[in-house]
Amino acid sequence: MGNITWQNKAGGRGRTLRLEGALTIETASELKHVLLQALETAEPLEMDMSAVESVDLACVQVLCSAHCSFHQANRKMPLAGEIPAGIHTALEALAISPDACDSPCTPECPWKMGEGHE
Amino acid sequence: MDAQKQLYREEAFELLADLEEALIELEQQPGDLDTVNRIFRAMHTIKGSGAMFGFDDIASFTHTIETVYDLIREEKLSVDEELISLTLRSCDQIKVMLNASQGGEEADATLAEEITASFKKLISSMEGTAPEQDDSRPADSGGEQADDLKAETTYRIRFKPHRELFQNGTNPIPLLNEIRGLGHAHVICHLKELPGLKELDPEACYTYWDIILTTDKDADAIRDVFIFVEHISDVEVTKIDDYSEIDHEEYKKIGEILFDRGDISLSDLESILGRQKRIGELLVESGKARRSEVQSALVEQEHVRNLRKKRMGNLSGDAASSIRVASHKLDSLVNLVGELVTVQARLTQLSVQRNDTDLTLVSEEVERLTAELRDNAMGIRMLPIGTTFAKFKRLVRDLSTELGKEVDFTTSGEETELDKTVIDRLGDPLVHLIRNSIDHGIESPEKRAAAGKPAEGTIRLTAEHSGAHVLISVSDDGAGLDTEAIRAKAMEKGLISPDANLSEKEIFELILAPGFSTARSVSKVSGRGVGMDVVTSSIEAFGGTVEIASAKDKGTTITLKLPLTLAIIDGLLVTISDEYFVMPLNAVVECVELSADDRRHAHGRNLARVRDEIVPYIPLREVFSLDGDNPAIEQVVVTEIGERRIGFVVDKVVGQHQTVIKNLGKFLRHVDGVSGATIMGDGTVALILDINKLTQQVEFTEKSLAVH
Repeated sequence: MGNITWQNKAGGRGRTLRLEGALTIETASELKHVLLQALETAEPLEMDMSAVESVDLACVQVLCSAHCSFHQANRKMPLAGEIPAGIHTALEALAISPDACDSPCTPECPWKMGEGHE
Repeated sequence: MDAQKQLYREEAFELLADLEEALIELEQQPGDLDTVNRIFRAMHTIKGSGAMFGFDDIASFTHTIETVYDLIREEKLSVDEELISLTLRSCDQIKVMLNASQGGEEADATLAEEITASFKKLISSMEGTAPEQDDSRPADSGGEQADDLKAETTYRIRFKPHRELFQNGTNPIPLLNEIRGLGHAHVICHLKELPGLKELDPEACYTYWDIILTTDKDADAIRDVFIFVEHISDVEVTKIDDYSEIDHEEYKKIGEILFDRGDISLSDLESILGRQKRIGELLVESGKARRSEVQSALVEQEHVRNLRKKRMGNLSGDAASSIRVASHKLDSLVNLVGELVTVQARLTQLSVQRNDTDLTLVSEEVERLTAELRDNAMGIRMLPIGTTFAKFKRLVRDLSTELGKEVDFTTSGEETELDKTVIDRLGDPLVHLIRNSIDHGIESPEKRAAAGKPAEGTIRLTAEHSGAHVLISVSDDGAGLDTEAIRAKAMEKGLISPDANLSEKEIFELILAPGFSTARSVSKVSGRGVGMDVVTSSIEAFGGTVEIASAKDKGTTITLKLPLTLAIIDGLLVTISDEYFVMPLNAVVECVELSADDRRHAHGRNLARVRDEIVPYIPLREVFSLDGDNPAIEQVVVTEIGERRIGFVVDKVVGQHQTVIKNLGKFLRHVDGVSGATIMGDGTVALILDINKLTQQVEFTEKSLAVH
């Protein structure tokens, strides 16, 4: 079962959205809700997915949609920490790749393998 | 379709021969993965092509065996003697099935089931591996594709789930993986319908996929993957390429692919085509197609182009450098060349008679071309003898196991080429010789140990060129021939008189006599009353000879001397009275004159003195009872048969003659001393002399006279 928590960043400069465990369809609604809230407030968003064990298509869709919506709002969705193997495996199996994506946010796609993220 | 079936049968028999060889190799080196791969690929092709051409029984029978070898490839199963024997039995079963499809004896279904059950037992002996799952191969096993390309088809699959896909708990990942398991797949994901976060229903599916799959499975097998989601998704399976597309490696342009898929309209395509830019870029720029769609079409284009390129590569590498032709077509080509040689001889004769320079020029040119054509046509019929050698490995393995003997079988000279007809007729005599070597030649391991020999006996099968002949020998390091036993047996059978003074070589030759067999007991392997005479007669039937060399306790070597070809030979044309005869030139050593004085000096015996050597001769005029008087000076054509020199007395030696061999037909086939006939330039017929038979016949007559 996935877990979504906000953590204060060191030095009190904003918060980090920390995702943990198995992100499944059961977590998808909550994930959308949290991300939408962050989108609608002006608060900078940083995400930490390093403790995610696995992810399903429903949650990938939420994350992709959020990334795109942030981009449209001229906002960034930087990542703190590495993308774990569990996510890479799911993306590979689903064939999700920035190469075949039409979104204007593709240049900053968090799924770009091996590239650093802010 | 029948032609394709026949083609499949031929290919399957070749694959089976290769399989048997590979299996024997694998038995010797059980860890050799290359050999395992070779076996797997052969089984895979037999299965795949079998299903394609309606040999469903073979396809289903081979399926389990293929699975086992896949497991061996993955090192989940190990190779042992039992597995090899089982697989060899399967090869035999497949052969029976192939023959049954051609009207042969019906295959034993119980035996097939028994073999399959044994293989299944092997599979189930593996922990945690469900046999059926092993059918799949990893998605990107592109490296092996080359061999399988012809049995495979490429499909474009669009899997577009409805929004409610997740509601019944469906996870698309296993579905996509299952599709990947069917063959070589490229999966492209489309997220273009994914809305912004605000509009997004987190429990709805917005994603769909295009999959380009190359597989040996059919469209139904692909649809079966989606069977549980077909009510909540749209699945389109379209065949876009198969093995029949070999004439070009080009595949559709990007615009065509997108139009095919329904991603763009024809008018969109036409309006874009007018501009000078890459179509994909233009379509994206103009908003007619999305980047993901173009990307997906590019993947499809590349996938199919690569596949076709490989197929073309395969063709130019193997198939294009050799083509399969029915042997009767070659026979008819050689027949026609034979006719041409005859006509050309006539033309040459005409040009000489007319003394016309122009005609002579043309005739000489035709003669040169005909000779080249003849050599080429004969060359096409030449096959390396190695194809025959391979099957003996299996024979030796089976027999030595059956008789409890250890035998190391080696071959050399596999590349030696011989006329296909000769090779075809060579199989049975060689089987007989090898059987004899294992059964009578090689001793039991105990006896060998007692004689200070290694427990494992050796049988060598070799082939080499020797002038216009090929020498094939079977040698063993066994007990050697027992001269005393042969002598005793020959006396018992009345073949020699008790006081006959015979050299060792003559004693050895006795085993070639009809009805001679020294086998003490009739075993399953040899000694069934069919002796070496069968070998001799079949080898002599096509102009070959058999020679034996043996040393007690050291072993025996039997050498077959065979003509390179049976269709056209170089002959020596001779005349007796008004009749023409041809003698095989390769047996002729020299020609000497025989005068009436020479005859007188021999005191009535048929002996000629050739450079201080006494050569017995056969007066052909008497043998064939031809009319007419002997000319004052006759000719002796001295020939060499084995190590002996025999002369044949004729009236006149005409000269070398290119001889197209024609059969004598049903009624005259068994006339001794004549092996065929040829047609001369002026249309007359010349008989081709079988000098071996003639010599034996005369010797036999003389012996009979001596006895009585």
